[in-house]
Amino acid sequence: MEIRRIEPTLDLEKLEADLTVLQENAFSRGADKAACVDAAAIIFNPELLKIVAASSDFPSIHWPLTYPKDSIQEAIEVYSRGIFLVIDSPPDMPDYRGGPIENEEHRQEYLKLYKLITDMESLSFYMGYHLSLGFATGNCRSIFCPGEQCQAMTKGYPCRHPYKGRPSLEALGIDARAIAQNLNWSTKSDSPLLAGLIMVA
Amino acid sequence: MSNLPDDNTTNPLEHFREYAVTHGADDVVIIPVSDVILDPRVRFKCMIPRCHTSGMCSHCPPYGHSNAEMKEILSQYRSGIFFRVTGKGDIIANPLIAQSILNNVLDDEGVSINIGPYYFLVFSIVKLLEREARTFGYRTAGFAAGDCRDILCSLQFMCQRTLLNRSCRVPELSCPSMESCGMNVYTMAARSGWDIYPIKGNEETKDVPKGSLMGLVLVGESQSAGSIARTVTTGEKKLQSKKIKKSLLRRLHQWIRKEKNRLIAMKQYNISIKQLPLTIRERRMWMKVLRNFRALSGSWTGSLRLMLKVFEGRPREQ
Repeated sequence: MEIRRIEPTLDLEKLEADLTVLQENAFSRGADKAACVDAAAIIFNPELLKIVAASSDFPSIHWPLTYPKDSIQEAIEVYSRGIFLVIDSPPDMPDYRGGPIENEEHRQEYLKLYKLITDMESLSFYMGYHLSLGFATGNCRSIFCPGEQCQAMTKGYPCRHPYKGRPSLEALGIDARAIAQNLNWSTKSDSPLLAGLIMVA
Repeated sequence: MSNLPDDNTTNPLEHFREYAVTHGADDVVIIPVSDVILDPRVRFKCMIPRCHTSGMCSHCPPYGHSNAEMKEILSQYRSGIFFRVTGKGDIIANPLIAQSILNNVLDDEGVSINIGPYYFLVFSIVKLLEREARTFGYRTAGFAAGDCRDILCSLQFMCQRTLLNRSCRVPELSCPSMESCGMNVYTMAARSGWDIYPIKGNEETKDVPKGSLMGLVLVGESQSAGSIARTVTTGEKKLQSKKIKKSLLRRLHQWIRKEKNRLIAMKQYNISIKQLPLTIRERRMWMKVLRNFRALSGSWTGSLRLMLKVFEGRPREQ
């Protein structure tokens, strides 16, 4: 694996070339759709935060999301480019809205998405984009800690699955469906959108 | 008003730079505080995905200094002594470290325990630089690398400051890391001309030419050195009188319990004689650390006491 030296400044031409490589990698690792997006294409919708707050009967450290000392929106606004991707969901999959996922096959689909995001974020990190951040879909507790309490919610205790569980786009208030529609991707309103976003640089 | 002179012959910053090198730093640059890069994305790298110590250490995100707090802190300083300690890829970038973290048990080969001295060196250089700058009458703020809980409380199952609201166990060495305060350390290092490679645990050691750990000590407006010395002396005297009051029997009982806990914790974390060969190979690093601990504590006995304190154990809950 090539590990690139960190550069003092961002080379925009190199970034575009690398984004193309990342997009190709997304497909080869299982994404059904993937596109390079500008940070300006990231749509924040405060209504989503209300929906997440209303469906927090199964809470976790990432659902709903609170960062008492930091602003994720401010952080995302610093990026210029990223990769937005989607994995097609099975036709019978309901929108679990942050609740437990009893169907093991469905849980595996979410796991596939989380693994893809982790791999893409990692690849981007080793390409020298050391501040790349990846976001998935769904409540990480439903996916990684089914049937368990979220340990990370207890002060002083670690996450059971460090480096794996991550926040979702909806918990951040990012409207993945609107982003997909702007990319002219077809989305079914009655099934969940298994979307991910890796902000690269 | 800053007392930092401009000419090189009496420039204390140059002295601090040499001081850092003498105490183990491989590269040191003096930077204006305007070269410290605060980036709102950095703290999220600790939280997305969640690092194994995020939330467990009082200096790590979501705790620690926010970007706004750091801006305020930086505005009080003028310059920084930015340094790095370099290490071989087969230690700093060894995948066994990631495995040890995930399994919560150190590897038999000794890689995880022998990354320790690299971090101890950064923390000790920060503390020594802070003390040296204060003797010149400067105000300081020090930042090291990594989370201090993993490094200074590795055999404790928790950070007692975070979980039990008690004071820090190792205030002689503990300080926040640069990255936990939102500093874009990698870019700062690259802009200082250093070759720096991203390391996070998924790499092969052969792919990483070199590992680097960075530290920063900010220096600013001078304070009265006299008032600082009086505070230290008064504090030490109070501590001495408390110690005399404890009975010998009680101290012996506490010592036995402490050593028993250390041995149990060492067994739980898999610290054993199997790790000795690599430790012997890394003896020069350990000796650098012991020398710095001696400079901090004033004696070789103090140095060993500080090392034993760092490796004090509190067994994990079963």
